[in-house]
Amino acid sequence: MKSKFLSGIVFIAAGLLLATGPYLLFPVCKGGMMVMRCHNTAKAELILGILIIAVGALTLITKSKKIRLWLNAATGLLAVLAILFPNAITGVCSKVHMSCRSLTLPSIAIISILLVFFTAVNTLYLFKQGNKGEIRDGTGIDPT
Amino acid sequence: MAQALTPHKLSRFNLKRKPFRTYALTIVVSVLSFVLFGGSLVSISLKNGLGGLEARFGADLIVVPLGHESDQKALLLTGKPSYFYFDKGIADKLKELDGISKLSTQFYLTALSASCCSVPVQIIGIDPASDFTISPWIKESVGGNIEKGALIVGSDIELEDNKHIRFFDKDYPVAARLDETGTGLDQSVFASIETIKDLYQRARQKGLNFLAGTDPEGSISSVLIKVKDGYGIERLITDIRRSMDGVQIIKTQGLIGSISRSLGNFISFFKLFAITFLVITLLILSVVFSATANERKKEFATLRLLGATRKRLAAILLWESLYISGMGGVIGTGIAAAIVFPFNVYIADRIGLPYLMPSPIWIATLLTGSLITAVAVGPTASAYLAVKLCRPQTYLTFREGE
Repeated sequence: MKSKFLSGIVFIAAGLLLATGPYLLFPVCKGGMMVMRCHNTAKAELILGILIIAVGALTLITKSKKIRLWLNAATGLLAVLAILFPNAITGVCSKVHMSCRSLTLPSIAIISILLVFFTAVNTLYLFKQGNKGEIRDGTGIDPT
Repeated sequence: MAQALTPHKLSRFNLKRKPFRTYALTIVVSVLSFVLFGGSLVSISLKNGLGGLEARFGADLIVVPLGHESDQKALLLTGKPSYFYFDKGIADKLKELDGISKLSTQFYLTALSASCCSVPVQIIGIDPASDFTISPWIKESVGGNIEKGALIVGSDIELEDNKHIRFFDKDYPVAARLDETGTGLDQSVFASIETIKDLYQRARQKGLNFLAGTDPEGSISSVLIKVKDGYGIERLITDIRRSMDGVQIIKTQGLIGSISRSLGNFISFFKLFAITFLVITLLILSVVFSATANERKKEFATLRLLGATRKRLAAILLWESLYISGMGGVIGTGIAAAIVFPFNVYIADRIGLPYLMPSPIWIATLLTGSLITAVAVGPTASAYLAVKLCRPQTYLTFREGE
């Protein structure tokens, strides 16, 4: 039960940071005449952040451990995407001293890496818990 | 199979039994190691930046148009792009003065790099024949020749294909990349005066007008001067002031001196802060260990009755403190590394001073030093107690409070 609330709250917090961070806390470059790569990255992170928040909310209301395991794995994948967008897919500005490069990129990387790590540990934990509650014919028993 | 209860196993059980105390003390040591590693890394980076600035300044004096001293300083220290001009005739007048060993002119331009963003790049036009400040810092030659339209880029300029950079819809070949200095020049692009003329024309065609009545033929932005050995810098400054108006003279040693002073203050403050923190951490750990040792007298007496030697009791206490300081040290340095390394450019920009990260060997030395200090704090704080605890008679301790 504790793990359910902890993971739900962690997902929502991380999602909020990813969604709003590139606009408020660790902003991408200010808009000019040119459409910059980092603006697309901020949009992508906004969508990924909202998806992670949604998964976090689902985690909070879901009772089944099996579904929570899948939600957890989905968050891990979304976090990997959150790393890939600024680094490989949409990218950020090439100037080293631009805000998106010096502030947004490392901030997103740190949040996403921590989230990937958290989901990996949580997946392992849920998997072990699931195995504990499984009887011989493969039918799961939900101890919650 | 039964396992022997070694001091280090017992200490682990003790730490697990008191999670709040363990976490609180670990956090205290984490903060100490964070301050030690993070602070020393930033201090050394600033020192290196100053070193880079000193080494990079081949010129003793920089002559700029009146009112543009701060622009020139910002360009050199933080790479803030700007452009300002005065008449080229000033350089000719300066050449006539005594006491000048080397003299070179520069022309400043700003342009948007098409490969990047809507923030301009500083382009500095140099005269390759007389230049003595840029050419010595070429780290690697990429290809091309600066005299034939190629550019030299600072270490922070990223190239799409490592060979070209695009300005005003034209790809310019890159001749070389400069060594990293931690100064604003790392963000600049250098071109010969001929290339600057081409860039200037293209900028004009694009509708960019820099300053009315200026062009690379008859204008310059700054004059870099190396004073002859034995000729006083102050004397030359007086000579320049007497011979012309409308110029401002920047003494590079004065600029370095002012940065050195503010950096000195920062480093002194950091040292004081780190020492204070070290003392406070030692005090906190000593107080907590002594307070808990008092309530654990019976526990130790029981262990003595069960046959544990005094050395073993001391070892339990030392292992506990070592675990706490070890965990705290690793966590603190880890967090410091996770902040200082990825955000080093942001930190440098916020400080606004030249900033150059130390070499990997230096980083490893700092890391080891910080870890050793943090790890040593726990056993140092508990060493006296470990000895003291073993002194009282076991029986008397056991009967205490009855």
